Amino acid sequence: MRMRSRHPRLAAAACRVYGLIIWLYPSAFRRAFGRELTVTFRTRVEDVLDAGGIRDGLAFVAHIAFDTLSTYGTLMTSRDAQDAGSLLGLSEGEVAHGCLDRATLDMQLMFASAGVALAFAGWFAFLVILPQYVG
Amino acid sequence: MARSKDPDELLPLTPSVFHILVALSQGERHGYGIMRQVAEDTGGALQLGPGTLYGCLQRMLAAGLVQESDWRPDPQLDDERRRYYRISQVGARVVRAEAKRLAMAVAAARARRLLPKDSGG
Repeated sequence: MRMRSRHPRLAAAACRVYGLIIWLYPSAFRRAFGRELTVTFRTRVEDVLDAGGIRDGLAFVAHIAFDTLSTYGTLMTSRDAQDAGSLLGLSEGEVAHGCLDRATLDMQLMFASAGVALAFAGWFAFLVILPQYVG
Repeated sequence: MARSKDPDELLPLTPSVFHILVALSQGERHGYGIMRQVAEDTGGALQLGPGTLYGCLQRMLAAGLVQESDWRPDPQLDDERRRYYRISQVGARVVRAEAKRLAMAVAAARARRLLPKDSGG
């Protein structure tokens, strides 16, 4: 069994961020490999953190950003009709005219969720944090 | 990628796919094991990110170049969330054909004195 990381909280935080990032990927890919992506990412993060060095850390962040964008591009361009389906379940694995694409729907849900979270954060700042400074 | 019986139809392989097959040619590995082996094989020149790795594995599984393996290591060393992969017979034929193609390219470069005769690569 692997030794525990020397920076478990930092590794856990990075994994939480990565867990959000992989929502960019098409749902079929995420369902098939999402858990493994996270496990592999966590192991890699722990190795980078244990090796130490801000430079290595920054290089790692840049590498993951590039990896995510290039994978996203590849998956979206190679995505075929299999990922299209009727929301009503009337079509599966075929192109159904007028249907919503699951990957597009996932993106919309992700941005909608981010919007709701930002709205709550804004209200929290306005109602709780701001009065402390004004008062 | 469609399944094919003729390995030449799948050539040339991308560097990532080639090195993943080379890494798996010595036995089953999980994703992170493949990443480390590829980095070691290439002297750190090719560092696969998780997205690139699993994107390649998805296509390779579809093409029948690799298979998911039931093999598990010692339970004390195992992480049950990991999946192990092994090279298929088709994958072994394809990686051999690609290695042969690359060797021919290297031989051509060497014949034109682009590489020293005693260089390993």
